Amino acid sequence: MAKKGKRKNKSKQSQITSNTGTIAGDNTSVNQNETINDPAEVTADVTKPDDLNTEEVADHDTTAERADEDNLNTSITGDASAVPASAGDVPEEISSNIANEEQELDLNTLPNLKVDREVNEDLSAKEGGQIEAEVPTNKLETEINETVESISQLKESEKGNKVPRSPHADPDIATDTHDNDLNKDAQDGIVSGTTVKQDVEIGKNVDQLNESQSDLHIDDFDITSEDLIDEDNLNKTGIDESGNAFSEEPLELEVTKKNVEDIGKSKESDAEEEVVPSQKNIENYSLTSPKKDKDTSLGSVGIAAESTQDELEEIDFNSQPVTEEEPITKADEAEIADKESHNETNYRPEEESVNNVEDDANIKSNEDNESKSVSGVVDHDREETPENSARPTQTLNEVDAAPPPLPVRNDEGSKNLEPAIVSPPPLPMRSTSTPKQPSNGFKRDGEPSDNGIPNAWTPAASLLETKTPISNRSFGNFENYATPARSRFISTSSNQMSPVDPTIADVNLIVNRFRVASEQIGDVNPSVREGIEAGHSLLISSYTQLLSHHDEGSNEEPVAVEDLELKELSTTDWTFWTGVVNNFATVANQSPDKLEEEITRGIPRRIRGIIWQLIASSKSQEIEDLYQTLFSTESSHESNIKRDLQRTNFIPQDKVDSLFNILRVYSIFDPDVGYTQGMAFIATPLLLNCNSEAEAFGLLIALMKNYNVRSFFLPEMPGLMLMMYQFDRLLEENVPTLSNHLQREGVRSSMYATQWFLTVFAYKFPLEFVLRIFDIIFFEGIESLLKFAVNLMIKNEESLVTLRFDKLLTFLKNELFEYYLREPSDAESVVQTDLEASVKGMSSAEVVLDHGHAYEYHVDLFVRDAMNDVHITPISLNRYASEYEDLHQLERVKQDEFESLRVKNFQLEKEASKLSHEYALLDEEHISIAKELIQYRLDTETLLDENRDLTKNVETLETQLSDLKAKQSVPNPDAALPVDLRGDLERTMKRNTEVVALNSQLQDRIDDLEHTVRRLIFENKKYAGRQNAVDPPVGDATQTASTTDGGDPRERTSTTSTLSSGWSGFKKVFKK
Amino acid sequence: MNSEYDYLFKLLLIGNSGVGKSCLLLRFSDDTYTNDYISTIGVDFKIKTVELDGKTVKLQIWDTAGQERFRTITSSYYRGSHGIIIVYDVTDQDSFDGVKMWLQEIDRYATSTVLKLLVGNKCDLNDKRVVEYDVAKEFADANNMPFLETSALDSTNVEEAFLTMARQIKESMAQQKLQNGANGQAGNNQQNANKNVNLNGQSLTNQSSGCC
Repeated sequence: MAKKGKRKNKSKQSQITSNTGTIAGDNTSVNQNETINDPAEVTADVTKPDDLNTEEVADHDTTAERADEDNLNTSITGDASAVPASAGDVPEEISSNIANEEQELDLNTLPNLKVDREVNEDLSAKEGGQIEAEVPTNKLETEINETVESISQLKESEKGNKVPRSPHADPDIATDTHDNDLNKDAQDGIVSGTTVKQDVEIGKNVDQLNESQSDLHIDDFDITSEDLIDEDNLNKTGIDESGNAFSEEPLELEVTKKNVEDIGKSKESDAEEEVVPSQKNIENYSLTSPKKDKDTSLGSVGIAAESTQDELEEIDFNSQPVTEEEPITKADEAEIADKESHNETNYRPEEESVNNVEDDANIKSNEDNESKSVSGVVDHDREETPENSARPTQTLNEVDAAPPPLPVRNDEGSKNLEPAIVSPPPLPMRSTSTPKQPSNGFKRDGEPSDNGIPNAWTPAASLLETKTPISNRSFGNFENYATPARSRFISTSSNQMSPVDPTIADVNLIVNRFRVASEQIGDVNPSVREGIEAGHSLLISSYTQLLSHHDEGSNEEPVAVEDLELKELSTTDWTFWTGVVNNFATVANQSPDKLEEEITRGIPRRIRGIIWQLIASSKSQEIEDLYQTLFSTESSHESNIKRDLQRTNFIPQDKVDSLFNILRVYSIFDPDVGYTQGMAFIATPLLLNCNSEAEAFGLLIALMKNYNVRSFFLPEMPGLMLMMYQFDRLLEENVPTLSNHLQREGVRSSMYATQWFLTVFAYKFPLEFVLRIFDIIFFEGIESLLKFAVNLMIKNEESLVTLRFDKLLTFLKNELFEYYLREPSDAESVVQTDLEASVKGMSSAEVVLDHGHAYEYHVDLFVRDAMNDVHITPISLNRYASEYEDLHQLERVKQDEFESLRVKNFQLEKEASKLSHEYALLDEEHISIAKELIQYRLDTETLLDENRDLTKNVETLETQLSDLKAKQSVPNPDAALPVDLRGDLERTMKRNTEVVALNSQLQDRIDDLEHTVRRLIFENKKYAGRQNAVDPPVGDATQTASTTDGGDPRERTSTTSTLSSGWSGFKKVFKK
Repeated sequence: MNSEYDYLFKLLLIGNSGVGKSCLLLRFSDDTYTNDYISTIGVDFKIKTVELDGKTVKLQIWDTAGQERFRTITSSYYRGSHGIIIVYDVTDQDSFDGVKMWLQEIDRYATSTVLKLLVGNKCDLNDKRVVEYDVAKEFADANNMPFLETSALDSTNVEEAFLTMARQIKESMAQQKLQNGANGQAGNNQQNANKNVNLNGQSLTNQSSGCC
């Protein structure tokens, strides 16, 4: 890859430089014979008098181009096509720019006053050579832009300026500039004398540079137009500008590398050295032309100059992230605007970098991978300089030295938070690094490394040592050893990382992980570090042993080896892995792409354990001792662990005891975690890939502490919860449909993903998957679990969306990975897939499950998909993390509230029940009382009734009595009668009297009558006696009677008259 | 809504680590037994449909990790369950002592109407028994829950345990429904209406049974 990159760069350069090159050719009579198109050659010729100068010239061109680009960009405002057309306008702009530059230069020159005379002299000498070189370019430009006379004039003047610049370009300076960009902070402190000199030189050159820049601007116009067309590059640069100076820097470096390469071609003998200077020159150029920053950077240059390669590496490092950022790219206009603003705010080195970036972009327009090209350049240099065997080694050493810069930055970033805050937001990194004295020391340390021992960690160690005074932690306490690192990790990952190197670390998990790791190592005590280093060297030696064994094996073509293994061996890029083993820092910094690619393919199983331990820095004597010490201690978790031993996947019978020991010792080592289910699943794969329990134990500790897996197993499982949240968010982002579906179905990630994260997928997934996932984790951090999880969800989205709750869950738990299940392995398909695999560089893994069935999975595809299809950046993760933190905070508050409410509720409930009980009692009482009352009422009522009845009785009785009394008292009812009776009586009496009267009358009459009768009888007797004697007696009686009766003689007469009638009269009386 | 079943009951299995929750569930759902079932991480889940008094009852059974640390995860499963089965190991006194703690968990996280069942597992290991039936029974009675001793190994009482739980839930649901009806008639003004809504929302059962 690297080589390709180089070539691409070269081609680009040739294109870009073609303008300048041709110009130079025309103007400079020096190398007319040589190909005009190759700027490098031209420059080389020019530089012949002064190697340095020639290099510088080349750089000049490139840098000038950059500067021009800036101007162009401002004028062009993103319109590529307009650029050439606007050429007429350009001069004006250029002039204005130049004027600005001059002013700036003046500013710069101030520092120059301090400049050492010697330096100036050298510079002037160099300048002469450079001036010559520049002149041709000016001429060319003038030819090209005949219309713009003024421009040409400007250019001429610039030419003069340019020359001096090139002299500045001393290799040391150039490197320093790089360093400066990277570590501006450090520069300030460190620079001191050397920096002053550089500044002076710069100042002198500044004027020239400005002029040259104007010329360059013209050239650049053409270039820029081309560049503009390449949207990708532009976008990238734009991002870099907006984001961080660091990212930009890499681009610059790349450009310089290109130049270097060209130079190297022209002059193989000088190649390396020249290249370096050229880069430096370029940097200086850019720095000087725009602003004061350059001065500072230059000052630092002297210091940093030593390790140009380091810079290059760093640059590469940065460049990668940039490419990744492409999706984020902003509009060209925005970029331009940024640039402009940068120009205005001359303060920042970023402008320079921006310019450089643009140039790079132009150059790289054809290139696919910028970062690769950079790395390639480095390699190239090695290759090109076959002259001295010593040189390549030097370069290697330098490369080795490279890693330190990264840790330095981190440390600085963390240490120098204040400066970061003070400095403008875009440049937090640099500003933070200002105080860096360690950087100097570090770089110096780097030199010794050149001398020799190719140990990736030595530089880091040197860094650490420089820092060691800062850390006072006692080594003896292991808790101290572990905890600070952890806390540091957490804090850095969430807060400090972004300021440290936002662009890269935020975008690339590997880089992020590497930074964190190196930081952690930086935090460790020296003795511990030594232990780790010793562990490293041990691992390395075992690796070399293994490798040599493997070489032998491969030579012998062993038949016994399985096909798979053979294939693996044959396809493994052993040189790469050797590089990783010997110098991981370099690889991580320099070619993270390649690294990612390789780990995606999987770490060769033979060296897997070694690589893991190397990357995790887990092996050290300390750990071994610790393990032995704790081994004899009793753990309270033993029974728990024992119970789970058999209930763990993948654990072979003969390793059960080892697993037990590891977990047991860990539970003692980390009492906060103790033993939590799931750890056995993690420890098992580690154990399977380590030679000893102690090694596995070390890996486990590293995972738990340094990779923060520990947070998964702490009480409350904060890490797991966070990851779950991140997972949810990523799902939302990547597969919103599925995410919705899951939500609708009520399937929460805790239902299925808990097992994935807590066991690193070992819960249900085949071992081959798990091992590969571990590969990634060790390089990228535990966050890469999310990649796999999300990828699985993406791949299975189609099936998942159709399922309902039950089946959905079952599927999620058991069948997700079957997406990567191979077709039933009949011979043909196997062959075919093997072919495919060989073509694609993939291998298939055979996984044998308990049932004896052999399932084959596309493990490579699985990993590849996860790595390529799911983009997870530390920055987004951090964002999620902070979101989660907020949410969690809220939730915790709520929970507390809930808890207190619950307690309160409980109390109230109790009270309520008590009250209700009391109430019930009262109620009962009340009811009884009420009942009583009613009873009384009723009683009263009845009594009343009775009363009433009785009174009535009394009354009746009384009335009766009174009646009776009344009756009694009432007079004789017959009283009334007497009246009637009297009347009757009276009447009766009257009648009586009447009757009596009548009676007496009648008596009288009777007497009369009788008298009459007697007289008549008598007379009758007197007559009968006369006749017979006369009837005198009778007559006598009658006569008497009659006499008695009355004396009424008439009556007698009537009586006698009535004698006969007497009788009738009588009768009549009676009748009456 | 769901024609395949009349009721859906959500059950939760809790209890100390290693008491055999997963084995119990495996025996019930698949009628199999394995001695080296891997330890449960987080929660697991199985479905089993049974017939109960002529009704089809779908049991959705959640199996939880027993370790205390997992409570963060498992506690959220209490609330939705209709029935909670507390399992202990008759050969492990600690696991029985833990039942009290689990009851507290239920009080804390589950709804107050949740039904409980105490199960003493591994009763086939009679020679290793340390928790006597009577003791457990007494404890269960004191806490108002039915009690069974089971063995996932020889499947003693396994089915019974789950069916007991299901039956209990069904009955209480019927009661609840009656009560709800009564409440509804009694006073719409009361917030009972809201409570009812919540209850319905919680359990599919109410809805489905409503259909029937």
